[in-house]
Order: sequence, then structure tokens, then C-alpha cells
Amino acid sequence: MKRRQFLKQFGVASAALAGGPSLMAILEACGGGTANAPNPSATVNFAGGGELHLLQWTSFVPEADRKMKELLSRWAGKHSGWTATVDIIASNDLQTKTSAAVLSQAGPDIIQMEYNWPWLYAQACLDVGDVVDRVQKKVGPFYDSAKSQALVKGRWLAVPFAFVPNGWVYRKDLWGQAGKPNFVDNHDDLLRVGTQVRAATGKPVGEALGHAYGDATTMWYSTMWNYGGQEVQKDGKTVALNSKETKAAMQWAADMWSKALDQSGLSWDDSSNNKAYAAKAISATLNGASIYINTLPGHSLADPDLSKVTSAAVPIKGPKAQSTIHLNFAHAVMKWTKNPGAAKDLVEFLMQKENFSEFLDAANGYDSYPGAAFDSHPIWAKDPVLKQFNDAVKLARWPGWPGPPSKQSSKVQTSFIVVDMFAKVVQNPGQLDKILSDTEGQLNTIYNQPA
Amino acid sequence: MAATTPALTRMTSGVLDRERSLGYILLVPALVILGIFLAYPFAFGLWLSLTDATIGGDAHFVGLAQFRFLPKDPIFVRTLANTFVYTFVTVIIKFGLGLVMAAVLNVNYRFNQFVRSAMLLPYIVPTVLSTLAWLWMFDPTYSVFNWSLLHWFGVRGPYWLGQGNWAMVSLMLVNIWRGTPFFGVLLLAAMQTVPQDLYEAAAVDGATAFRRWLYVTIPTIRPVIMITTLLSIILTFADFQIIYVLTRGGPVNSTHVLSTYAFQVGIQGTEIGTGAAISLVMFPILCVTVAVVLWLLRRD
Repeated sequence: MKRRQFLKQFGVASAALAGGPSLMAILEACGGGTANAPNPSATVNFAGGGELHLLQWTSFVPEADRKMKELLSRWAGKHSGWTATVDIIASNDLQTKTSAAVLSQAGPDIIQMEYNWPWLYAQACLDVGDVVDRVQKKVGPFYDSAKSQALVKGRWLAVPFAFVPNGWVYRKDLWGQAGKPNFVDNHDDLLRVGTQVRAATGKPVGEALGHAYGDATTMWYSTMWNYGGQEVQKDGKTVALNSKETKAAMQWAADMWSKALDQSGLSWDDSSNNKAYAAKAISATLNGASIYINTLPGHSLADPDLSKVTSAAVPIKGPKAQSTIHLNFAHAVMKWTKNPGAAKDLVEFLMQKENFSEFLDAANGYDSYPGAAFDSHPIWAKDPVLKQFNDAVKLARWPGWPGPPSKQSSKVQTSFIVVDMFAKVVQNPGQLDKILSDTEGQLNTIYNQPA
Repeated sequence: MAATTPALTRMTSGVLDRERSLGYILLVPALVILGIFLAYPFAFGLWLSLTDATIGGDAHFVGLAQFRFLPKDPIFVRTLANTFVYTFVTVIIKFGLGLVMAAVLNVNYRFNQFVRSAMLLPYIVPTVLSTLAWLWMFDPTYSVFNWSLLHWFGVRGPYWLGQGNWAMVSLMLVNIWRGTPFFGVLLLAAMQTVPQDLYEAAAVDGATAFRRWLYVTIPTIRPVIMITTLLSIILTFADFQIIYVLTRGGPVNSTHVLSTYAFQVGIQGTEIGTGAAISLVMFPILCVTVAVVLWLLRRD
């Protein structure tokens, strides 16, 4: 390691210490590795062996993580002297660890990026356009929402891997009592029938309004879009939040909160609605398929009675759109890896048709391919409930829609500005205009920063 | 060569024999460690706060722009107020409870040793683990608190972590639970050093137990009280784990303290320059606090 590199890495870690306990997390999260700059155009050379590390979240369906480990071992088995390991960490900590690695320019060779993170960490990711080209050619093209995440200013900085599609998971028995055994398909009905269900059964609709990076983002961005609201114009620069459409979305949220939602949602994280549904405390929630999958026999929260009365529906529509935002994953090869060629090869290996098919099977339909290539996969035919989730993939948008994805829109998302706008209005509906105006100010501050 | 070695030895022993030079030499290891782990990190953090650095982006010098911007950020203003309230309220209560705890533990009775050990448990258990247990206790669905309130008293409990004021109260409760033994143990240690003859003299003069405690114990352990309070202020002011695990600064940023907000802005928002500036706001405040306490101690 050169003196300058040492000083840079040490300085970053030291600054973490100086910055108080918050930034200490950076230091704790820093893994090993070196910052030797590789040659990005290096050809794959497996001679002599080596090791690769992949950093990813802990899936809500543990079988998916086990399959990932198995696939990595299989890849390593094909290349003598190589090992490939996956570091699985809590979903809430993935961004912290990613930031730490980017700051110190060291750590995992491949990082599972979520949402638009490649835009945030663009300078730390290698161009993987060659891999993307081959995957799209051999397996199938990606949806625009997947492209938006990983195609940064014309360069593919990550290979789209999978979506965790969201749908409404609901209790057929409770919603059937209100005459909607197949759930509802629009916001007005969700409010009207959700109110009836809560009043009749005491089981509200449950949705996170706290800093839950997955569930809260999915619910409240799509609510804004479905009513025609948007944070920014198509140019991706002009803030466009303050509109009668956004106000309508906020008003719906306030009504929904007071009449049909679970009032504890302000403190919920991404696991809270899973727990509440498993505890039979709520009648419906917008979530990935994990809630349903885990009630099935052989799974961690197996509950035959609950799975029998559980079904799913695609995300609802509003007056202007039927949209949603899914948690999506893409594999970024980090520029500090000593083995860029091997890392790209591993990422491509995961996307091979047979390997991804195995992953889909293992994940029990919790994950989907970020395109239509696996729409006819047997997993969807096996269980019509799960098919609802795969059908929802194509409704996906991205933070900052209808503008192009950007660093600014990613900052808005990771700072929970839109989610907090809804959280504020449900607590103070009378302050709707002020809340909207304050949020617009926050967006202006961010969008006026250089890209 | 033969002549050089004795000369070098003489010079070395001369330096080591002089108290002043030996003192400086002995200080070197500590200064090196402080320099590496304190001065350099601080300087780097200061530098970051003077730039517009983002994670994965370039850094440009912006002078004091970050610090000028902070007062215009309503979340920062709320955060600063939260930090003071959180620290002020919890330190006072921890001190009061710790003093009582030390007084009780200072009395000899059966199982005294066991009780002393048990009282330390909150401080011994890793903070994140114990806070996770509290998170479950505050859970609106499974909460032992709310279940008990509903089933025993027929009262629906609050959404502990979902309503601004209740969330702050919950955080304070956990901080007090965890921090009281810190006061208790240090004050107990101080109480055990109070000379017995002072108590005997006071008793001969007719002082009651309470007056002996008030006029003998408290003045004697005053320096320890000051130092313990100072340390507690510093630790509480920079608290991160309890807030991060329980509320992450929510709901709607209403329970952020400086450390968690710095984390949200610097790491999650990737504005590491702004995050460093938020963290450094603590520095002058704590400097003044330390200076005041040290001045009071010296005055004694």
C-alpha cells in the first residue's frame, strides 16, 4: 500500500472516530481488502486462484440466501484455487456498510445495490456494460425500472439482478366480510372498505410511515404517483411537488390514517408489518411475498390457518396511475477489487438462465427477474397468489420519476423526504399546505445541488 | 568506536537522569497514540466539515458554508434542542437515582454483594442487545407494556415509539435505565473512601443520619460527583446506539440527536461533509462543559 493510499484510508477511518459515534459505524463496518487500483479492462485470468466477496442483505426468505451461498460455491468449484463468499447483513445496515466501503475504497468485491444506489456511488463502481449486454442477449431484456437503477449517464454501473415485487397481502376472510374477497383495486375503495374492515373486525390496514426504506418508500411514493403527484419534472431538475395532485394524495393519506390504517405505523420499520400480519393484528398490507411465503408449511412462521385465508393482489391504482416502486437489486463490481474480471464472471454466472431459475425456485417466488424473461417460470404457475407479485413487476417506477434517476432523487429517497411528508400530514392534516411547502423547500435544496 | 559508546551512554543516562527530560520522553508513547487516534481524526473531521464532500464524490473547500447552512435546517435545529433536552433530563435523573442507589448499596445487609452485582447488569449488557429487548417491550403489537396495561387495567397504551413525545420519553427511559448504574457504582466507590471518623465526629455532635449524609458524605465525594457528571454528560450527549436501535430518529425526525442526524445526513444521505459538520457542533459545547466542570473542581 502506498503512503498516500494509507493516509487516505486511515484518514477516513479516523474521521469516523472524530465524528462521534455515528460515524464510528463507518470504522466498524470497514472490512479488509486493499485499495490497489485494478485495471478495469483486465481480462479474466483465473490462474493462481483468488477470492471474491459479495455483500448483500438478509433476505426475508432465508432459502434465497442459502441458494446464493450454494451458487457462489458452485462458481468457485469451477475455478481451481478460487473461493467466493457472501457476507449477509441486516437489510438496514447494507447502505451503511456500502458507504463505509466506498469511503475507505476497500471491502467487498461485489456489492448488492438497492434502488438507485449506483447513482450515489457511481465513482466506486466499474462499468459492467459488457456483462449486461451478454445477459440481456442470452436471458432477456431488463425493464426500464431496472435500467433506471443501474444505467448511470450511459454507463452500466451494476448488473440488474432481481426485483422484490410488492403486492397487497390481505386476509380473504376479513375482506370477504366487507364484500371484497378479491381485495380492492383503487385508493378510494381501499379507504372505504378498509374503514369498514377496521370498524367491523378491529383489524386495520397496516403500513409503515417510519423510516422503513422498503415498505414506506413503496407505499407512499406510489400513492403520490397514483394521484398524479411527482417530486420533479421530466427534466429531473425542476421541483414539481407542489400541485393539487400531491395535495390530493396527502389528503387521502390523512383520511386513510385516521379511518383505516394501524396507528402505530409511524414507528414501523420494514419488519413491523410482517410481524403484525403474522400476529393477525392487521387485515392487509403492501409488502413483498415473504409474509405469505413464511406462513406456508415448512417455513419459519408456518401457520396453515393463516395461509389458507391469505391472498395477494397487485398494487392499487389511483385517479392518474397504477404504479409502484419495488425493492430492486443489482450487483456492482467495485473498483477496488483486485479481480475485476473474475468478479464480472461471477455476476454473469448468477444471471445464467439455469442458475437464476434455481434462485427463483429457492426464493419461492419472493424475487423476480428484472424483466419478462421468467414470466412463464413454473414457480408462478404453482401458486396463483405468488403470480400476483410477478405481475406487479411491470408497474414499477423509480425514485425521481418521471425524471431520469439521479443522485438527487436518490438522496431524496434515502433521506425519507417524501415519506416524511406523508408522516407529517397524517399527524397534522390541518397543516397540509405548510407541510407541502416545507417539503418543496427541502427538495429545492437537494435539486439545486450539482449532480 | 570504543570511545563513542561510553560518551553515548553518558549522554543517554544524563538525559534520563534529568527529571524534566525523562518526563517528556515518557510522554512520547501517549502523545503518539493521542496524535494518531485523536488529533489526526479530529483534524480530518474538521477538514471534511469545511468541504462539500460526498461519499463516492469529490470534495471542494467551502469554508464555513456547512456551519452557516445548519441553523437554516429545521431538522438540525430540532435535533440540537433534542440533544440538550435528552442530555439534561437524563443526566439529572441518572444522578439522582445513582446517588440513592449508591447510598442503599453502601449499607451492609444480607445479599449486599449480590444486589451490587445485579444493579450493574444494565451497564454490563451490550447496549444494542439490551436496547433490542426494549424495542420488543415498546412494540405496539407484542409490547409487554401495552399488553399489561390492556389486560390488567383495561387501558390502551400509547404508541411508545410512534408518537413524538412518547418516543422521546421512551428513549430517555432506556438511557436512564442503562446509565444509572454508572453513577451508582462510581458514587458508591467514592462513599466507601469517606473516613469513618468524620461520621463518628458528626454523630457525637448529634447529627442525624440524613444530616451526616448531607454534610459529610456529599461534600467529601463532591469531586467524584463532578467528574462522574461530566463523563455522563459527554457520553449522553454523544449517545447513538439507543436512539438508532429504537427510533432511528423518528417518527418524522422528532427524536434525532446530533449523532443520529449526522449519521442520517452523512452516511444515508451521503453528504459526509455536512455530516461531519453536524458531528462537530458537539465539540465546542462539550469543551465549554468540560472547562466549567474542571474550573469548579480546581476551585475546590
